[in-house]
Amino acid sequence: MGYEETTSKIRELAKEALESGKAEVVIGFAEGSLPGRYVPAFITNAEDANKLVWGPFTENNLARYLKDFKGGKVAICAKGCDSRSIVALLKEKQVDRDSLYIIGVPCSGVVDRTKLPDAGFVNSVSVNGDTLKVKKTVGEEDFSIAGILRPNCVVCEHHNPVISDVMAGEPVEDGPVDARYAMLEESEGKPDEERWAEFEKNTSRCIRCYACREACPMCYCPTCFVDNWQPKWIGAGQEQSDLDVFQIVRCYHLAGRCTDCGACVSACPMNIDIRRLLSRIEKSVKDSFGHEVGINLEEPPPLNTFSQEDTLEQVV
Amino acid sequence: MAKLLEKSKVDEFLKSFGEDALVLCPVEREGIVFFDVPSEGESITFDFANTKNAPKAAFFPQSECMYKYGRKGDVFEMTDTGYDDKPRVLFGVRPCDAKSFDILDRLFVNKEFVDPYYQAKRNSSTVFALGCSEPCRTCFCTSVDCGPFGTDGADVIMTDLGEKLLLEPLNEKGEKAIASLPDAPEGEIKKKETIASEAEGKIASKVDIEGIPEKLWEIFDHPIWEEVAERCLGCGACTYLCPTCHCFDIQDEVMKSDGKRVRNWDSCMFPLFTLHGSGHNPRTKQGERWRQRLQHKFNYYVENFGCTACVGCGRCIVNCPVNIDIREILGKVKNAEKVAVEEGK
Repeated sequence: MGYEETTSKIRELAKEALESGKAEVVIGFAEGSLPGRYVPAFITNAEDANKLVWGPFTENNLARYLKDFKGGKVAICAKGCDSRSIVALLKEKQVDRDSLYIIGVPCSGVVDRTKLPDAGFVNSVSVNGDTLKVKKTVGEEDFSIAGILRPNCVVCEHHNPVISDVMAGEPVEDGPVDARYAMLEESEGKPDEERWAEFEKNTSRCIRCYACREACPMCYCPTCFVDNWQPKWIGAGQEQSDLDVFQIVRCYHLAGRCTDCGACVSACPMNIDIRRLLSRIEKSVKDSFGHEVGINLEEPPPLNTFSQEDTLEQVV
Repeated sequence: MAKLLEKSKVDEFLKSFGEDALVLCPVEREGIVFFDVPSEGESITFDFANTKNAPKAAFFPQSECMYKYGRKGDVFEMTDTGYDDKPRVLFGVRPCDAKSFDILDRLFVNKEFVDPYYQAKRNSSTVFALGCSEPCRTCFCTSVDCGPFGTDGADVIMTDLGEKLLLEPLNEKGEKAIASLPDAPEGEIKKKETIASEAEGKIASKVDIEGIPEKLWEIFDHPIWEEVAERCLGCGACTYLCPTCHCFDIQDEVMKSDGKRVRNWDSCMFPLFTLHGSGHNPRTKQGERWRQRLQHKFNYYVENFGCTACVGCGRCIVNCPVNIDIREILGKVKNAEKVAVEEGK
C-alpha cells in the first residue's frame, strides 16, 4: 500500500474516531515547514483530519505525547516501534488501555534525515514510488528510499503494529529476527580502551539539551535523575565524565524498555549514536530474562519483577 | 584598506597571532561543521553554510567555573580563578553570528552591569566575519536587521573569492589585525561588491516583524501559545544552538571539602527553569514557556536593550526535533487578535 493510500485511510479513520466519539484528539503527523519533515499533529476537529499525512518522514515516536493527554480519549497513529512503546507504557501503568484508540500503521521505514542534502539548500522533497526526489537550490538528487533508511529501521523486526484497534493499511513483511543486535558484533573482541574511546567520541558532542530524553516515550519521570537535588547525582556542565554518566544512566534506565524506535537519535542535534549502548543493554535483558520489549502485554517488565527462578547472574 | 589572503596561507596567518592566542574557526568533524578550536590534525573548512553550534561559546561558554572554595581545617577559603583574557581569534564567523555578539554585548557589558567573565574574553578577541555568498533557504537574517554581508559585531569582514579571501577592516582593531597582509587590488574589491549585493537578493525567507513587540503585549493571554507549543518536547536544542540565547544557571559542585561555583547554560524550555525554591512554578505549561521564549527575543529584549534578540540564522528551525518553525509562529502572532487582559492580572 502506497503512502497516499495510507494517508487517505488515516484521515478516514481519524475523522470517524472524532465523529463517533472514540477519541477527543487524534495524534498523528502533518506536513512540516521544511521539505521532507513532518510535525506531530493533534487533531480535535473532524474537518481538520485532512491535515494528517503519512510517509517516510515519521521520525518521532508519537507515544511520547500520551502522557500529555491523560484523562481524555486519545487516538494515536502508531507504527510498529511506537506500538511496542505503547505496550511498554501499558505494562508500566502509564496509559489506560480503555482511553486509547490505536490506529496501527504498518511501516516500511523512516528516512535518515542526516543522509539528505543540507536542509538549507533543499527546495522540495517528494516521494515518487520507491524514490525520494530532492530538488536542491542548485540541481536535483534522487535517493532510493530503502537505501537511506535510519539504521534502526534497517534492522527493525516488527514493521507491523503489535497492538491496535484498527489498522490503516495491509500488514507489510516483517524484518529479520534480532537484527537490532547485529551491530554489537562490530565491537566484539575489541579491547575495552578502544570501545570506550568510541563511546566517548560520541558522548563528547553532547550538549545536554535532553532532546533524546524528551523524544523518548519511556522517559516520563517527573524529575529526571539529572535534575535531582539532594542528592545531586551528576554535574550539569560539560565535564566529559558527566556527559558519559548522563548517557549511560539514561540507557540503563531504559533497560528492558527501549524499542529501538530511533526517536532519540533522530532528535539529537549532534547526531550522537546512542543505539549501540542501548542495544547492548537490551540484548543483555533478552539473554537474561528472555524478554523482548513491548511484545507481550501479559509479561511483566523484567526489571520490575523477581521470580524464584532468577539466577544470581541474571539479577546482578 | 582592504587586504587579500590566499586560502593556502590562512594557517600561516592564524599562527601569526602567536602561540598564546586561541584560534577558533569552522572545523569539520564526522560530517558536522563546528565552530571550535581546531584539534591536532584539524584545519579550517570553508565548505559550510553555517556551523552547527553558535560561536557565542567563545565568550559565554556552556560551562564556566566562576570561583573555587574549600575548607582547610577551620578556615573557609575562596580562590579567585580569575577572568580568562587569553587573546582569541574568531575566524570565519557568519555575519548573523557576528551580530549576535553585538546583541549579547548589550546584556553582558552595559552601564548598569558588567559581566567580567564575558568581558575579558570579548575584549581580547578579534572577530573575522565571513560573508554568505550562498545564503540558506532557512536564513531570514534580512528580516531581523542583519544580512549576508552584515558587519555588526565584527572587526573584519571577509569575502570568499574562491582561492582567496578579501578582508576589509571595520575598525581600528581590524585594521591592525590585517596590516601585515598584501593590499587587495581594485578588481577584487569590485568582485566583492557584486557577490554581496547578489547575496542579499538570494535570501528567500522573509518574516515581517513590524509591530511584533506591541502585538506580543496585546496577546499575552491568547490561546495561541498552547497551540503553538503542543508538540514542543521541552528540550533545549533551540536555545543551546541559538546565537543569542544567554540564560544561565549557577550551581555549586562540591566534593567533600572542596567546591566550585559553576555557571552553565540553562533553557527556558525546561520545566525546571522557573521552579522556585518553594516548589511553586509560574510556568507549568509548555505554552507558557514558549510564550516566554518569543516574548524575550522579540519583545522584552527590544524594550530593554533596543534590538531583537534573533539574528535569523535558522538553527532553531533546522534542529528542532519536531520542526517547530519560529517564522510560522511570528506569522501567527502578527495575525492574532488582541486579547483583553482580565482584571486583576
